Amino acid sequence: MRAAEKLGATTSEPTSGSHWKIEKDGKMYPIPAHNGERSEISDLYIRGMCRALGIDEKELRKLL
Amino acid sequence: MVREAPDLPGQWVAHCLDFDVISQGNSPTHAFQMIAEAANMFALHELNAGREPMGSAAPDASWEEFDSLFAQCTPVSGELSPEPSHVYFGMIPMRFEYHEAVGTARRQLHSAKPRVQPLMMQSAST
Repeated sequence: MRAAEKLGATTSEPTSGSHWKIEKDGKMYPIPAHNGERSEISDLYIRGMCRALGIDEKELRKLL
Repeated sequence: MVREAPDLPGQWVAHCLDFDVISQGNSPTHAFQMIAEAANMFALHELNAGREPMGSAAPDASWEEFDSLFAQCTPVSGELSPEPSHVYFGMIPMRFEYHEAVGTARRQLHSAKPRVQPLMMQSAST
């Protein structure tokens, strides 16, 4: 999430449920946080998130 | 479509192809619950922004894989026992209602809690 924020996205904690929100340019994508701060995110998810928010995946991975 | 994450053993990745939304769970059943919540959040956001959520459908390659695997699947029922070589499919209905904010003419969509009981579950061996 911190890496995505460096690329212009904003994140917010869930008011209910198990997903944070990440937003960029008016678009929103849910982030699974089912294991709290210990949630590990799959590459498949990262690829999908980048696709949805128009984030360059290579640029994001440099920041991870 | 739910499958074990290739890079995270023990984690299951769920992909809602109609909205191209992805989430994760600690088991196939949990992954379906997670994707129900994620897809619902996404659809609600898009609808309130005046956009059609199905305008963000998954890439063609994802649909081609879906077509190929779905053709082979067999029905399953009850709690899913995690089989790493399996891909699971399900449908999750969603319902949205307009609510008017008190004292304004503004209407906003709200959603009923998505049903996490899939209507249909099938699996195919990869």
